[in-house]
Amino acid sequence: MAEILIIDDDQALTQLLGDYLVGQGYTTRSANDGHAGLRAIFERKPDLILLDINMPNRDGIETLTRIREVSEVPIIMLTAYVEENTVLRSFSLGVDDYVTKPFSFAQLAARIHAVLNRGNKNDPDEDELRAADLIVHLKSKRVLRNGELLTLTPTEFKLLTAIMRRSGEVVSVDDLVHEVWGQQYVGEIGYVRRYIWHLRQKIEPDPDNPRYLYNERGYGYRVQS
Amino acid sequence: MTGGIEPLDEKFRHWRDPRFILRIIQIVLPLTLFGIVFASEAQEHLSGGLLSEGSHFVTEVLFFGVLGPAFLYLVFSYIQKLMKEQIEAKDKVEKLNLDLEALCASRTEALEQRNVELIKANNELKELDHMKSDFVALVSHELRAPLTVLNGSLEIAVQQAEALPLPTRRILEVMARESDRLTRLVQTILDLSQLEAGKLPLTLGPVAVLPILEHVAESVLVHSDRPVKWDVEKDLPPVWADETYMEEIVSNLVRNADKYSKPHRPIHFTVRADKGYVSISVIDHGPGIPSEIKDHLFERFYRGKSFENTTPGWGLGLYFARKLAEAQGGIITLRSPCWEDENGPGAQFTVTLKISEIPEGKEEAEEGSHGRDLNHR
Repeated sequence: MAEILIIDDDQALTQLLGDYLVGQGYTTRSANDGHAGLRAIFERKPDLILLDINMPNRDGIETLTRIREVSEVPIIMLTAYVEENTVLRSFSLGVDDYVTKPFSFAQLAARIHAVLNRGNKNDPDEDELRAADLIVHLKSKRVLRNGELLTLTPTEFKLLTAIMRRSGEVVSVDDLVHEVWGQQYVGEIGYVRRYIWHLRQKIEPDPDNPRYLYNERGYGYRVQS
Repeated sequence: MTGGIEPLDEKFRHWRDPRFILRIIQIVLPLTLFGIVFASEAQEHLSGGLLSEGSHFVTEVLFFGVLGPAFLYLVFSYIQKLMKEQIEAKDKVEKLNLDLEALCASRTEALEQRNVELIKANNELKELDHMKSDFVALVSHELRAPLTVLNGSLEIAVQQAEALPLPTRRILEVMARESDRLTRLVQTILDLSQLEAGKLPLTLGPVAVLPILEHVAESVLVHSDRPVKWDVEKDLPPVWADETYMEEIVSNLVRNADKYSKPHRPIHFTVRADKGYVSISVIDHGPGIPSEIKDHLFERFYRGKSFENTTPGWGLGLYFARKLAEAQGGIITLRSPCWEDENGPGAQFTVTLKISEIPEGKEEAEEGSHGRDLNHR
């Protein structure tokens, strides 16, 4: 049974969330600030940490830095900070997911499940697609290239995953429209090339000489794994 | 010591004044002429032994030696008078110029002073605006924590609601709905404060219009039996937008159309592409927008008086929609009335966004090197 450590100064939330996660089959512990959180990590060695940012006695970012110096335990940030620089900084410091308050408990449970499964080396592919150093985390909807977080639109994310799921195969434009927009839009959505062109601008280091996303003339697109 | 010695330049200063030189000439020239005439007449009469003709001598000296120089003297006086008038006019113009320059300088100084005051006031306003944005962001952050607990509790309670009596279940549903509304409002306020501070992160990319519109119509009108009428141009190109916020704009317009229209009257979606832009119109059969409030409708916290007591709302939706559209390089416009129907003249809100293009020259390069789309139209 996986143990989850909740580090948050909001006691009402830690109690409620703790009870909910126990109901989902996890064991939980909570700590009300960064110091207590670090102590609990050394004592209990949890399987996953939910970490708030705004806390007294060592804030979440500082706590995260300290944890990453000694441990690779999966961490999900649980915070009211939605600003992009805070999100990017957290990812660069090595968090596995980032959830903003207010959040749905059911969605958080799904993300916890995904992150724990990602850490399970026996089943690495369930939540992850790879093409060389390009990694797509399906449940958290994050794309990383060489560790750097890329910002894609939801459509671009779906387009990329639709091609990467069939790694090595050429995916036709009709199949792409079917998977990304739905069967009813096959023949309705034109200009797929424009979506691909803009996607390349975001994922390729040199979009004019693609490294990941290839166009097979007259057939469709394929990912170079 | 130095006071006793007059500099050479200062000593001959008069000689640089044309009036002084003219005055000298005016006196010296007639006297010289008189001297020459007198001398030449005297020599002429003496050498010719014409002393007897003394009366002629006096007459000639008077005529040539006195009248001539006197005439010259008068001419020079006249020239001097003209010169004096000219110099006085010049002095007057110079004085006027100096006055004007002084006036200009004082006005410029006043203007600079005003500018400094305006810059100061502007900086104070910016500072205030910054403080307001920080305050709003702080409050929104602080509200998010209790909202998480509130929403989480309701989520768990609603999951177990089947075991509860019906009235309690209904209360829980109302609470969950209102909590959702509050969450949306806090999110809107936070987004707005970031948008106004230029800090709202937009993830821009090509967006297919029709799926977004159909999704919005489906989700906003999920509990409504209101018909939807579509008039969408064929082969619509994608627009350049942030999908989430574009959906937010259209949802806002559809929510308004639904809120202000009578039951069973349709909502129309009209989409056109023209000159690099796609226009998405949401048209209702509501009471229309009176012309006196049209200009204010997109302002922050503005609510038409006729709607204040009848319809819930904060007056933020259209302002947020306008700011979001502008942040994505688009605009929102309003037309009302739309129908010749006294009971439902309706309103048409149109959001116009740029078409997502590939830079010129790049499309061909891609086609040449990597092929082409199968259903590219």
